[in-house]
Amino acid sequence: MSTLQVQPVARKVTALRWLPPHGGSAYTDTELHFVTGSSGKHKELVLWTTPNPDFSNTSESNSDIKTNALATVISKIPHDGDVQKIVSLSSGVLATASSFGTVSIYSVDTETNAKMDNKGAVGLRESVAAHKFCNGEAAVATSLAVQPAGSNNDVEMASCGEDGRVSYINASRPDALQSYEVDSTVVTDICWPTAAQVAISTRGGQLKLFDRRSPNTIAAVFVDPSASYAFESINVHPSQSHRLVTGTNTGAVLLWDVRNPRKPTNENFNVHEGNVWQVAFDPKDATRIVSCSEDASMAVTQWVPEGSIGGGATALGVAPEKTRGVRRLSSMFNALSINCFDACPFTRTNLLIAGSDSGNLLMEKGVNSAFGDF
Amino acid sequence: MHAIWHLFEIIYLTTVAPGLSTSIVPYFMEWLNINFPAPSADEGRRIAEGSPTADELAKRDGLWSYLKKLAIRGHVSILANMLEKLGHSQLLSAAAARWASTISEISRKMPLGSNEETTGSFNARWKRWNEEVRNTATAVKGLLSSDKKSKDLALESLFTIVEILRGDVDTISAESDLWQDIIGAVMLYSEPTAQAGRLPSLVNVVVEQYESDAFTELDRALVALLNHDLPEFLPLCSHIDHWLSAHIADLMEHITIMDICKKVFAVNPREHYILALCETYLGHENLWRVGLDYLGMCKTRAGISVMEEYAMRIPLDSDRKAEQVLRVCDKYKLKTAYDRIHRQLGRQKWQRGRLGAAIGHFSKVGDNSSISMVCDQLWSEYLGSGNLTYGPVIDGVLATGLKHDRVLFLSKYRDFHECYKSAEHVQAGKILLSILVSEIAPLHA
Repeated sequence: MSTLQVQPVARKVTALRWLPPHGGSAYTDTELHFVTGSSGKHKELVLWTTPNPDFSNTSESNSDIKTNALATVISKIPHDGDVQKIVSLSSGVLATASSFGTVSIYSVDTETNAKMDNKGAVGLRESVAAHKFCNGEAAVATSLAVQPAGSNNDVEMASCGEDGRVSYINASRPDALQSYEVDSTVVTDICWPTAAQVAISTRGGQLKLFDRRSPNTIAAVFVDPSASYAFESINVHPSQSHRLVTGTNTGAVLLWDVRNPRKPTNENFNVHEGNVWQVAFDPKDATRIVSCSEDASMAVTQWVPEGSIGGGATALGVAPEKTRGVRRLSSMFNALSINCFDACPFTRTNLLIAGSDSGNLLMEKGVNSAFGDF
Repeated sequence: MHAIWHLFEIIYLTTVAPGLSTSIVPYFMEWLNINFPAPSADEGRRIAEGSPTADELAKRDGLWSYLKKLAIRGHVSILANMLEKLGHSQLLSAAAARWASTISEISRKMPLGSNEETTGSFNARWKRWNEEVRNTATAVKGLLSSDKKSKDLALESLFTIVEILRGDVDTISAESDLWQDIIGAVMLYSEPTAQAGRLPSLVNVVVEQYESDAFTELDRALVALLNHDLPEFLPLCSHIDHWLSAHIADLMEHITIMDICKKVFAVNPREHYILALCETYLGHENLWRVGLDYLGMCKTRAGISVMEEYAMRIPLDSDRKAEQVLRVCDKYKLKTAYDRIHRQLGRQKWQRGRLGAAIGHFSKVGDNSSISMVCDQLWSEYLGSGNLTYGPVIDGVLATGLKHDRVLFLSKYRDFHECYKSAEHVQAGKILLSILVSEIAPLHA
């Protein structure tokens, strides 16, 4: 079990996201920024900064801020409702999904030296009610996802909620949102495999695909017939849109291949002991799946796609370097559920942050240690 | 709070290991110096700063009180160093200078026990050292002039220090700031091999000199602990902090000294204190899970029943929170709570119009009558509108493999209509037949 570094932040962290660096790549940024969202007693968005691990500071002996802190707060802003999800729409703009059923758009300013003036680094632009039940009560917006490859000015997001609906919101015209009922239970998570396709995971244990152009009809439904799960989270491979990964309420991570809609295949990795709240493919190495769970641990699962030894490698007689295995991460200072995580796609060193119910920010930097067996 | 925890550890855990009869004195001095540090580091810095010459040192303010404090706390090597330096000072009278050096030598010679030495040989060494100190003390006393006009401050202070080293209770009491100091110094200088059992009598003697009003909660708790008066100690701890009392009670249970208390208290004290601690957590919006885990650790029937009650009352603000509460019910096998929560969620979803989810919840607890009612609602909506829209609702539920007559009927009826629409009349006929044969249709349909 590898250990995560812990920084207590006195907030229950339920969402977090790395912000894109200036200029699109982090090779020249010495500081990275991320935003966390918290729930429970204090509902707020906090903007943080942390040193870029690609620039190791071994020569810095005279820094006047010698702390053991992993990250430092730049500014905070209260949020209406628990923060369920944060997504980055473009540089300087982010959106959140809230437990009051609203999707809000914020502007973030990391360039001007906001350390001098605590206010103003994060500001609310607008907010729209995206989810409610038919009796009028607001429904929790459980997740949010951004359409890939949308143009900067016309980015669309899809949000899903406890009302069983998916709402499509255009960032520049949020009032004109379109909402469709897609499931009879709770929709727990959503992602965009392609710019025209949306996939959702439901508490009823179904994975549904929709075509954006005809959002009322379900394009395909997949279930795992071997067990009755509820799905808590879903995500898509960065380049292969037929590969999806879902996390279940029993601690399993399922890797799906839906090329053939009539015969979807899935592979089951039992890596956790509690609900898997979030799953994602590692942005730097998509043969790794990262997941976090109610059992207070995270897992990095190495799977080998079939045919990875095909092509040039076998011709040259090169053995595949990657073998299957799982690496578990936890900390003895963190006893409660890890709710969310984000792997930084902008740095060369592996950098993973996560937030938990114990009021901790957890981090792992640049490890490429061995993977154990399942 | 740390002071109490540390002292508890010293008295009950470190020195009560079977087979070892170790003295409590070194641990006590360590405890004293960690939790109530004296003399303060600032004072030390001020006095010894800049490696002063002997004369400068002699002129420093507060020098003698600093040296006396060093003696009381048992910092003999520092004391010896300072006195040696002082001995070279021209400002002191000849007698004072001479005795400063002598006392410094004596302090260095103070025997310290070690694990290899037997108690017998240590005691012999100690007696010899104590003799030497006594002789020095008598000699210095003889030099002290009784004439009030020519008081040699240095000599007087040196005399006090020697008296402290001799273990004279009166001098020690006069020079100490804290009652804990007195106990420490008396034990260190007159009974270096004292065991934990010696503490109560010492404590009582010392405490008598102080008025009880001047004591804080902490002091009272420490006195109770030193007196080995556990039934008194626990309630005092709970006044200081609930976390402390819960964990101390738990520790006591583990090292089986709780039995004394059980006779005194009407209820199981460990359970009582853990419950008290939980109350503070369970009300807290973020820490309810911690509270429930503590209750789980309680492992008594009362604990489990309290846990069930709380689990049923936790506000289920969101789907995820409900999942977390259900996980806890699973973990601790709280069947009643599980049942109630599912029913509550089912009703909540029904009110919000999420009929499929409602059926799902009711099915988890086998509440067939509620499922029938929801199905009736779906059916009457269909009859009212003529549009068969409940299809997706049923689908979600069927995927979980629920076997309920009404649900089965609704699904077959829907299948029948679809077959009819797509003109598969034979298939439609078969379904209709199966509905009639199995008699699952509601009578009023």
